[in-house]
Amino acid sequence: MSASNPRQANFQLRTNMDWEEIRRRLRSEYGSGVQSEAEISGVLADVDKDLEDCDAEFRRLQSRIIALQNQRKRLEEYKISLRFLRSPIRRLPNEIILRIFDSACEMNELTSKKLQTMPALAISSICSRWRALAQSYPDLWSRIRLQLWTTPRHLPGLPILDIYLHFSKQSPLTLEIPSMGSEELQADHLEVCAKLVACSHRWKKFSTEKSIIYDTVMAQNPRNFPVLEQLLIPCIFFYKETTLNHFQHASNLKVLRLCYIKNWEDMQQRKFPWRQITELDVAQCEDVMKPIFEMCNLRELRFRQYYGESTVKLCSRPITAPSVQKLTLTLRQTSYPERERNRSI
Amino acid sequence: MVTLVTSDNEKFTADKEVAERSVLIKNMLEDVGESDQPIPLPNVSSSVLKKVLEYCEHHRGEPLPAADADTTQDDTRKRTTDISEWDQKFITVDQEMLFEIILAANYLDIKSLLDVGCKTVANMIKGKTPEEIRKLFNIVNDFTPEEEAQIKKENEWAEDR
Repeated sequence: MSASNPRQANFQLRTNMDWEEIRRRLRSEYGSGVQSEAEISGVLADVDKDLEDCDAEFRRLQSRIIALQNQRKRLEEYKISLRFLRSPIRRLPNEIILRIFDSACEMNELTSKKLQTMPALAISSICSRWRALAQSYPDLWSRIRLQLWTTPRHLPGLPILDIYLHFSKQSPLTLEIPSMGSEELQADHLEVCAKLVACSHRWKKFSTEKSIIYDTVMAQNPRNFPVLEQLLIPCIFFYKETTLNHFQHASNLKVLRLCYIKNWEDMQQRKFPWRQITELDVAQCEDVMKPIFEMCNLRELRFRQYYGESTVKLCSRPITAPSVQKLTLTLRQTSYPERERNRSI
Repeated sequence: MVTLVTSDNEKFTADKEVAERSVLIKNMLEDVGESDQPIPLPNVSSSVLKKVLEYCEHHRGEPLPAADADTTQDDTRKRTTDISEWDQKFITVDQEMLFEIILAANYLDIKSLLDVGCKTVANMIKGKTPEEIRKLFNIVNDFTPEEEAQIKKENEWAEDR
């Protein structure tokens, strides 16, 4: 038989299965009627050989079925690949694909344990073109949010952060560390903070809601913030203005969000680059703010009621902030936005 | 009025103000000066141009984004994936048409339409696993075994890999 024709058996049966004869013999051959054992043994040997041949043919056909199944699978894959060649998204040039990626990667939640919330990593896992494009565009990897209390315990040091810092190359970083559930930092968290400090020269935006994170990071004494534009620490109380001195050389810092500073020191000693600040968001408007408002080149000023206070802390006398163009007052549940003032509050 | 001729040789007439939302057409009109000559658009089919003109008509009179717009603001604008209600309805089309509109917006240099198109695709990508994205856009996993191993290593901690 030809191997290409699976319908034909590959062998001829030796056994002649005469069922009527065997039934007759079963009913009549007993006692003295039993015939020669040698004749039966000969037929049985032929049956055994036929069974062996059947098994061999069965195995041959099984492997043929598997081969056909594999061939079918490959044809399906080939069909999908051919269809992908016609896929409309392939027609987009690289610069548009990158524009789409840029919009898709607003933020990467590195501690979520889900690719769905880490678009840069998800995009780089799609196909070779998308991977090459994603890896060639450091900005996609530079927007990082870390919920530190959900750091996976089985992966100390958050290796995914290393991947993001690697692919973001020298791109300025947007770092958001939202409020924590716990007040205590574990060894893993300290390791993550150390990694962030090691790249403080790349911070473009640093945002955290917990003083324990701010204090831990600042305890490592970072001083070099050449591209820092936004410092957002809205729930942190400072007892002295000098706590901000780490940022005295942050030559691009323009946006500052903080809560209170209890003790504003002498004007002469000020090291924080107040004159650069164009957007200020605070939870106090007391008399002590007067020199700050006068010193900043504020275009936008936001007063917000701190969640632990029943009112916004207000000043006793009017304060002038001559350059402010936009003023927003936010109460806990109500916002009075965009009261435009040109010359004064 | 301006006459535009598509790749499938169909003629469209549009108000100059509407057609000039395309920087390409605006520049062409400035180059040819006062003329009734139809403008050929060999990269845009009639079905796509019809949609593009619908968009330009709706946004007629709105300020065009400045070529030298502040880069920081431009970055923010590009990354914010909010789309107005009308634009969302307008761009609710099949994938074939969506990508054709994006290509046409790019060719005709209509930044706001390009933005809407790109943001729509970005919103389709957001919140999805790699397999869901492949399925959505009919993309084949063409990684080599070495790349596959590397990706597996990078994604090893993720629960939805």
